[in-house]
Amino acid sequence: MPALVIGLVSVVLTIYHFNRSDAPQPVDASRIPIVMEHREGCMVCHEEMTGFSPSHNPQAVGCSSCHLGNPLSPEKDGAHKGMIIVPGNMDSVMSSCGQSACHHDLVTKVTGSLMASGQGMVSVNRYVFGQTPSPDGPGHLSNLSDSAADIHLRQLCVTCHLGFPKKQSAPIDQTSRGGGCTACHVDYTDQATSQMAEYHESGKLPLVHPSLNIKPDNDRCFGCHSRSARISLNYEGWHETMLKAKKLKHPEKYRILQDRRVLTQKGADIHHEQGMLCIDCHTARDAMGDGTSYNHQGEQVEISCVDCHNRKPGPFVDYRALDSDSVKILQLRNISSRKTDQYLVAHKTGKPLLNLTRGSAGRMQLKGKGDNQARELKAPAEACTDINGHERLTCQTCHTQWAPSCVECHTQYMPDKKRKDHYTGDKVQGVWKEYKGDMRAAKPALGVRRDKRLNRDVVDTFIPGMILTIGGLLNNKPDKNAPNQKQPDQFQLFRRMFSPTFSHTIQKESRSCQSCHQDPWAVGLGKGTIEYHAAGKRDQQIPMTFVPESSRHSADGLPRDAWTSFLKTRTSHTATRTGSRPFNKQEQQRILEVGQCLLCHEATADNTTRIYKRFNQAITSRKPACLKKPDQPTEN
Amino acid sequence: MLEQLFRFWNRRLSSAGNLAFAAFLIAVLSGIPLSIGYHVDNASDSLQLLLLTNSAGVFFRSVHYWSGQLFLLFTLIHVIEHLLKGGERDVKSGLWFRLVLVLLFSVYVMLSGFILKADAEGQMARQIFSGLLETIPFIGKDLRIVLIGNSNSLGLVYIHHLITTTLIIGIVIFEHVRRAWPELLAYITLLGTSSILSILIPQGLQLADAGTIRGPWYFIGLQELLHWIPEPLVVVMITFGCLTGFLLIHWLKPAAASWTKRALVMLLVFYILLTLNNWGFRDANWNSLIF
Repeated sequence: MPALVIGLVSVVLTIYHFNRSDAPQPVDASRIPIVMEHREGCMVCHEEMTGFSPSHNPQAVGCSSCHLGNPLSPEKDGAHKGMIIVPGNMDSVMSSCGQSACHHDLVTKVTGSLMASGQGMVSVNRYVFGQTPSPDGPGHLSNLSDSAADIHLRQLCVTCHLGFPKKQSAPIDQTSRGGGCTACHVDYTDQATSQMAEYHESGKLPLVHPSLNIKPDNDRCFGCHSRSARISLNYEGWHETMLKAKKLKHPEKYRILQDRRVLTQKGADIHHEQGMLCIDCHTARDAMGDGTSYNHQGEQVEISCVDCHNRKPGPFVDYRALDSDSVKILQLRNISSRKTDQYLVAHKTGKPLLNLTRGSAGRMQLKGKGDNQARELKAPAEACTDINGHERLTCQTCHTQWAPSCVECHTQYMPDKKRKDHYTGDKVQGVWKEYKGDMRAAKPALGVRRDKRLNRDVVDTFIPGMILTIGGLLNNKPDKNAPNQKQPDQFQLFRRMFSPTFSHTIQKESRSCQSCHQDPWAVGLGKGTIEYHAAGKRDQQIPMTFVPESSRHSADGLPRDAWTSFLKTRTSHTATRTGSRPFNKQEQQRILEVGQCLLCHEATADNTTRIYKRFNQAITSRKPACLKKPDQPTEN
Repeated sequence: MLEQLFRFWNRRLSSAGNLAFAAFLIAVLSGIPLSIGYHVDNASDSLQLLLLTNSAGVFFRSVHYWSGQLFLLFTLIHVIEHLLKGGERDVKSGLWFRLVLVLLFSVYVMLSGFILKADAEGQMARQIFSGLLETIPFIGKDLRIVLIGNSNSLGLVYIHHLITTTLIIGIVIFEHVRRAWPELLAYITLLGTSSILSILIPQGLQLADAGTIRGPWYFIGLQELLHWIPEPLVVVMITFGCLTGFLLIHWLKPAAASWTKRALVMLLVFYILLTLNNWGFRDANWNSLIF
């Protein structure tokens, strides 16, 4: 009996199987191309799709190389089983872009790069919250714990890394986050955009596919990098205000982003004005990682100003000496002179910079990766290398025009409320809330940073990184200490840390001598005035006092916008990077002493030669007038 | 308890031996139409085209696959059933020797079919099998040449799969059961089960980079053993030790035979555990999820 039942069921099932309405139709074998050493059955249904770049043409790589699924199944359900809509998301990238036949080595590097790991973000955040003793790694945004510091990241920051999966195919816009390889390399034409929109609306399959290329424009970077240090905004000259978009009387004077932030124009970077893209400076290794685990963004950046702006540029390598990745990139860019050009080698890494070339005529030039236009490169002015005592300065120390500074913020944990955890997508109990202070656009403060690649200390530009009060940490107290209420909170942690920044607001004009030597903000003291007093004797140090503009913070007694104490050395928890610090007492003294001379002796060529190039000698041979109390500088 | 289970089974369905015989015949018959579209010189492409363009071919291929799996499964059950009853003493020494040899050929015919898929799994299985054969002292390389061939061609494996092993297994089965056809009910049961499984779980091909590459189910325990024991020769020796023990049961005294059977059962249970560990607790990168 059981045998007969089995036999009967099998007969019925077999008849149904071969006569059902969705049974696959016979297909001519010639319609099924061989790609990547296998038959690509997807092409039977999707052969009309267009829009691909040559290197990702389905006739060469098929559909399943990126979208997975089963290209050997003639049935729709079978073929689409295991398919991924957005290839390149980091959770599946090793099966798509990173499979062994495609970009395995590159993707392996990307996985460990800072854009994927956010290692610096994680480790600094943990350091600020007192969870770790150092702002350096390890840490990965895909592997966060339930600690207070990590919950803070999960609720506020975690979407800004490559590992955050993109769930729906769509062009990049200002709110785009994550998506692995697609975050940068997918390019939608207008037709592809409209067809994709129609697909999301009505389900009609698009016939124009977005193309994949190695020319990410600045919009790809904008979503994530318009936040935190705001470098995407700065580069284009936009400064974020605290204004509300709805309440603007003259909205035409501002730029309003998709997330309703209101921007005002403060002056763009000269490289932006020259039409350069982010990728013109930030190479593939720089953006996607070179296989080394770096702690912070600044360490991963391989280009430096002197690579382009150098009186003696070089060294160079020729085409035959390039690594295979570089050759592949040049082939994709299809530059006709690629085999005869010589390529500049980056000072920091010794790796070739493929858009910085010396042609047969011997002139060095930068070819824009977006427009392929050649640009002449300027050597630095003599003053850049010729003033004693300024050897430690970086180029951006003088040439940064402005940087956004958020003077203070307050981060409060509210255990009674609920908020979406971006990490899991679930609503979770407990909310971190940030109360922002005013945003300034001013010349950055200066401080000392340890350059690990150069293995020496440099004077660099800094902005407030973490000047904040973290409330509710110890006992999960409710939000009673929001800044408006200004109530004391015994459960709070106060931090005053600055971060080194490259604000991407470079211009040819440098800051003035006074803007450093007389400006307490530049020295890290906060806004205010330096008052110089009579020295009395030649061998006596010039007495100075500092009158701050801001009120003092109850937590540490410093002015609210300060980084360090006037003529004191501050050491503990001063910066978000190991080896970075504010000027110490002696450095402040040396800088501000020059400021007194500048009151009367402007930095003309004559004075520079006579006084500032031999400052120690000049200070001991001061005239009696120099020892009297001078006129004070105007308030900055 | 096992004996009760077998009695219960045999009252309602054909015996495992009959079902194994039926499975063998169905596998042979379903292989005939399959061989028409299969091109050994372009094996992978011919199978891919079959999958994409010929739904009847897909069905026959799946029936061929499932009947083959059921043949091996019921053969093993048949052996266990008769070992429980001491049935090894009911056959003559020469036939016992040939039956044990046919067990090896049965595994080989299955494995050769797996290799003939020529997909990522098939290629990997061929590589591992070749490596294992070569570790056998003195005759390893020759045995590999005889069983797999000395080139990348699948020609020799195809001939063995299609003719050599099929003939040997067929002849010994005939000698063993002394009939040319299985019971009709066994035939209906096996054909029905193979057809149902073919429709519900059709067999595809594993492309490279499409996830974890595993061997056939009867090979997985061996793969797991190779993972734990880095020296392949030890694994080969363990395998031959078990086979020798199994072969000698026929000639051993009842007490010694009983202990040998118990030892073999324990090894079988261990092998099943290794298989389950691999199936359920290893991720795509072959990392154990429990150890």
